Amino acid sequence: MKMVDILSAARKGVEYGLSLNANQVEVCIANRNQIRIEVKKSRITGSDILEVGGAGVRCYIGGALGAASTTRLTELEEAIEKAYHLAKGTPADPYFKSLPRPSKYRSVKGLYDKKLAALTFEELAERFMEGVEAAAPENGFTVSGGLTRIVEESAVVNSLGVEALSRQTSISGSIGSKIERDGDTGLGREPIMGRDIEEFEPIKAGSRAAEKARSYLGAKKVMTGMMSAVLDFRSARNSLYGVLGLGVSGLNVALGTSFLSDKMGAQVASRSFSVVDDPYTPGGLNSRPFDDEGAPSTKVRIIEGGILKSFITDSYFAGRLGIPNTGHARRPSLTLKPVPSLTGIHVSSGNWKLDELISETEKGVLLEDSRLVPQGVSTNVSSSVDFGFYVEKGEVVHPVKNTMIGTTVFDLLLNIDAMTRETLREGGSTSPALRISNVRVAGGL
Amino acid sequence: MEDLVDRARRVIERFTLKKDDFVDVRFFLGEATAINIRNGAAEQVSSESNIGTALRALVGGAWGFSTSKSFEEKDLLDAMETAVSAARAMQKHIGEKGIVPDKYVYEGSAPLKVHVDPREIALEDKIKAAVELEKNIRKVDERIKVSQAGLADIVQREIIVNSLGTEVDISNCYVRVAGNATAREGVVIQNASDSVGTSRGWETIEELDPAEMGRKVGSRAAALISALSPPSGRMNLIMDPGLVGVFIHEAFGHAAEADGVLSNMSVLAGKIGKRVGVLGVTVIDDPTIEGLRGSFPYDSEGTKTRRRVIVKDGIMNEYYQSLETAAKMGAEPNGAARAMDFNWKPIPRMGNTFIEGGDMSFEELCQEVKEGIYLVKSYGGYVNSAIGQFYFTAQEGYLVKNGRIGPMTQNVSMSGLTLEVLSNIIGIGKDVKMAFPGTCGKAGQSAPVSGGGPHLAAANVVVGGR
Repeated sequence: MKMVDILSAARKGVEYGLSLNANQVEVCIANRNQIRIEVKKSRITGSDILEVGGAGVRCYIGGALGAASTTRLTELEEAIEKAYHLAKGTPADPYFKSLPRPSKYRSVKGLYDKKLAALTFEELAERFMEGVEAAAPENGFTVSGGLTRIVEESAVVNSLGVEALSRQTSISGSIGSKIERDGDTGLGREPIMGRDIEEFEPIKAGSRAAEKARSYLGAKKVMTGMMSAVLDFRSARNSLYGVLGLGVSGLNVALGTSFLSDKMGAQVASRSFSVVDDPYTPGGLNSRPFDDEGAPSTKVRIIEGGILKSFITDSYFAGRLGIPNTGHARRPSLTLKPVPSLTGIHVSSGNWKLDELISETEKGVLLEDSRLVPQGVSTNVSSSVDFGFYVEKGEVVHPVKNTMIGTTVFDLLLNIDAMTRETLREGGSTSPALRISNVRVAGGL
Repeated sequence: MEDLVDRARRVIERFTLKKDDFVDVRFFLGEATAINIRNGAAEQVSSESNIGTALRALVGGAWGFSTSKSFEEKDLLDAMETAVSAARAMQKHIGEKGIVPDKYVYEGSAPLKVHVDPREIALEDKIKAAVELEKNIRKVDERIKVSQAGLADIVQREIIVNSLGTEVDISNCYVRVAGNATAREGVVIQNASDSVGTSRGWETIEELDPAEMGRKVGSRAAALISALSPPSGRMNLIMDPGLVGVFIHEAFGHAAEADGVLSNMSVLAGKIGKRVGVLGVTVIDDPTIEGLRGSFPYDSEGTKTRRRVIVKDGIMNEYYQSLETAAKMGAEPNGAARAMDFNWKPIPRMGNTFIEGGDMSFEELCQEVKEGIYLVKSYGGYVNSAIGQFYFTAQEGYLVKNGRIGPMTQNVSMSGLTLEVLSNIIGIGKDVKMAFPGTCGKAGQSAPVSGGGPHLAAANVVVGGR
């Protein structure tokens, strides 16, 4: 189904919902062409060519919400009827104000790439295999991995006049390289992500995965103790995405379960730390001119000089908190109601080089591709070091295994004592590497 | 059923298959409702219709997979053509050829086996059940800032027809109710949750005592506010049956999935017949136990399920098999190939995984551990099977001092190594309970599972407190 058709189908759906006497109606349609390629034991096992997606419907009667979804657009009217009947039988939510009203959208560059969309599955397979070969530079390596190319068109239409259409491409996946040598095993994994054919660099990913695999040979357990955690670029980004995503989400703020809910204007991170969320980042994986409800996206200053500046909202939590809608609604699935979520975070850089930062670390763990995040909304952080190295007297001594890190969300932000000058720009986010002092490292020795 | 089977047969017959080629057609019809009540308000009441067809083709040793949202014969033919073309295009890239053994052909039907079909229950009764649970959580303590009750029922039907002659029609029902409480005092925020999940019908909810479940969840969240910070380091611990379920799932179950073993991405490769745990440790996965969340009579390839003995008295005994992995290993398929819906291919995975009971009482386990921690209930975990390192979380704990249970501690996570962990078991309780009804994620697909066992004592586990 073409874009014009999904827009027309969504409009008709909204009209049908109104004809049933719903007060407000939203129809969201996604049409996704997906190719998946799987690699096991260094060879492709096969490929998948799929047409996925469907429609999600929200009907409001007063403040009562009924939601329904269907994989078949031919059954959109039935889904609308279901949503309407669910709303009729549901108690009203006193906090619901309204779905978003129409607005003008700014454009975002780099969300759709014709060349990436035009790649056939044979071409994708050929190129991916170049990466697989690069991930096994010699005997003793085994490669596994997967690649997904998506071409998606989607529409959000609501009964207040919102009509938002988008078309996007993306390529994502990973290459995992495993080396076995003298009874020891090293595993390296490197992601592939982007929206543009230029970002599809499987050879680079494969080579890096093999390098990582070699570097993890000889992993050892460490002693338990207080030390520093040095987070490489991806570990820093992943951790901050997780921690800030919980802390500044209008959902947790409204419920009083955010560790930042009463900290607006307060020092919540070290003074050199600033972060913005920018949905207009060109080519970002979560970049978009409007959110999943059709509200215009906005760039948000979250923390500036360590001071908390803003929360992120969708239409529901903006109304509930009495603050502006920042257009951060993200729908976990076509069935589920959206919640406020970060799009692309950009973290300020510091003055250090990564090797200087390590050489100035007396004792610590260098994390690669890991993530320090709390369990749910708990303030405790207790995470595994999936890939990392022990650092002592400024030297990377050996890779670690069976190692945990314990801290709190407060200390994680406040104890950032160094950030690198260089940053990693990937997937629409930017992050330096950084160091957190005084974390508890639990080791198996 | 008859009509769809005939249609699938006609589609299959239109494709000329050579020796060792294989195709299958899997119709999927899923219906779900979900209710989420938070702090007294109906946060979401939703209905989901997930209907479509999955088509696989194994041609010249390469796999192709395609889907159609339609059941129309013309659309199925187009989708199968796509799957066959995808397989043909991949032939030059494959290494070891894919195979499906021709001796395993299944015919069967397993209609929905429930006392009360959740689709027959009025919406207001479903909402009432969730509201009742939420209310009972909220009223426990004024420090509870969020009380939440979720109720979901899913009815799925799969009709599987393949070129070898398999014709299977199965229906499954999954009902799950979950309560969650978040308590806050100053800057301390703590969470507790519990759930009941079955492959039974609405009777799951009718048998539930929402007052008792709500009270327990709320009380635990409130108590955690003033609990001690969890300890850190290598220590001895006791796990409750729910945590044992997650532990065995993450520490061992995933590494025993044959697809990972065959692709050299599991530390359990080549371990059949070898010692992987101490005497007395037996790990079972049994999807045939009626009513558990990970139960299903046939898998998504149409293979009849059976009880699997993964580890027998410390010795690795079998892996989780699909048709293809079994053929490649010279083993029998054991009904472990599960697909989330029609958009995904079946892959080997778990059902109801548990450790068999031993002979120790809880008090004896505490004496055995002497100094350490008793950990209770889980939020889940994950594993990297290729290097055999796993991670899992406990919702709460209690210090064990001098062989006795001491003060409560807050949530904490643990890490261990697959090849060490079953050898580090120092005590097996006798009180087996399938206490973890969860959802397993693998390769982008989720599947209902359960896990459990007796209370279990293990030595030298790394606990990541602060």
